[in-house]
Amino acid sequence: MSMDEKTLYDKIYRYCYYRLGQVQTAEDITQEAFLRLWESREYREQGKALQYLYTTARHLCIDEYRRRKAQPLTSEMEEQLTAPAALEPELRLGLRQALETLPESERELLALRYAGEIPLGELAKMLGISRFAARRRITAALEKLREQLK
Amino acid sequence: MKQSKREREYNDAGGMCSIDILKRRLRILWQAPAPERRDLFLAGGPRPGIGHGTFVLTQAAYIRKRVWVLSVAVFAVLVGITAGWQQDVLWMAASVMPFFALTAVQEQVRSFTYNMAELELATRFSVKSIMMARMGLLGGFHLALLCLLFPVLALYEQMEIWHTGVYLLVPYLATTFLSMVCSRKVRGREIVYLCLGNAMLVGSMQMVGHGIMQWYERRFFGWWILALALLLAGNGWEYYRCACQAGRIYEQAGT
Repeated sequence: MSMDEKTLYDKIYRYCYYRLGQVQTAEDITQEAFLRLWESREYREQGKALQYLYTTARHLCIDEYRRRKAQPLTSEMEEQLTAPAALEPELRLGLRQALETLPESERELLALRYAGEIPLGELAKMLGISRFAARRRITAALEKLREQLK
Repeated sequence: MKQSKREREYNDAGGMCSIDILKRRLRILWQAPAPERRDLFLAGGPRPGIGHGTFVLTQAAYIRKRVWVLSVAVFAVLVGITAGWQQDVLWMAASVMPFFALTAVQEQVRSFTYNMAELELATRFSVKSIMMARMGLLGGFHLALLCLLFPVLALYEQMEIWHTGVYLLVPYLATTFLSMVCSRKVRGREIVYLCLGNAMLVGSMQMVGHGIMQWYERRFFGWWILALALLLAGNGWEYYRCACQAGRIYEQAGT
């Protein structure tokens, strides 16, 4: 069953927020991805909206990330990147450090699943793999992360 | 964050946290604030229309299964006749053609049969485009089936392929033409019976024409070409009038 636009928006926005750590930019990129989707007829009609949005958002995030590297962090960005999550600081730090040790592809997979809250079936479709393979990859990434946290 | 009993046990033991706890922690770590401009953006976002190809394909799903099944069944009869008799089979195949056309007509007049044209005109797609798409689909399907039959008939009758095409398309188009005329004039379930009557009339004309005038002989072929041209034009014109009539129903409903 395809997701409604609000659900899609939330998922892509959460993913962008994970990549950029800034509400305004995450929303800008989400909206840009939606505008491109609405212009791209074939993806929308083939029921591949989530895949299209994710790929577009990912590329836009990379562009934004590159652009940012050339600019110093603004106070707003710094504030949001260090905003306290509902985890104890040492736990948060440990988790972040453990995540850094994972390969990019596994970090991305976990982010899609737990930041974007993309259902396993949709995730498998997006990656062009079976549901079973997607579950196995996620479990393997979680196991690695757990090992790092030991 | 309040720790669960299980989480406390793991943490107290100084060991590894479970996968479930790890998942929960990741969700919390990556929790994003609620988007601020979502509803406004989605409410004002453009809603482009559906593509022509996709629209036509989606209509295939709405054509009743029995129409497809009947089309194939009548085609099977045509093939059966052709393969069974093998000689002097053209007039028989031509007599069955109106019933083949009837399967498509049945779908075409569905809106009018059930007095649903007015309602369908108020939906996302106009009844005109739906009729066009369905006729295109069924017509294309029928033509594809017939293309398989033309060479076989040409072989048995020892004539050119396109000649058999003309001989079979004329009764087909005559039935669709007459049925469209009836669908403009009559409303309700009577249309079905009238269309059936048309098919029987055109079918019997093929038998009579063959029996009395031998009209499949080569000397009459010019007349067949003329009939085909007239019927093509007539079908186009009738289709246009049916679509216009559908438009008028809509206008009347709006006043």
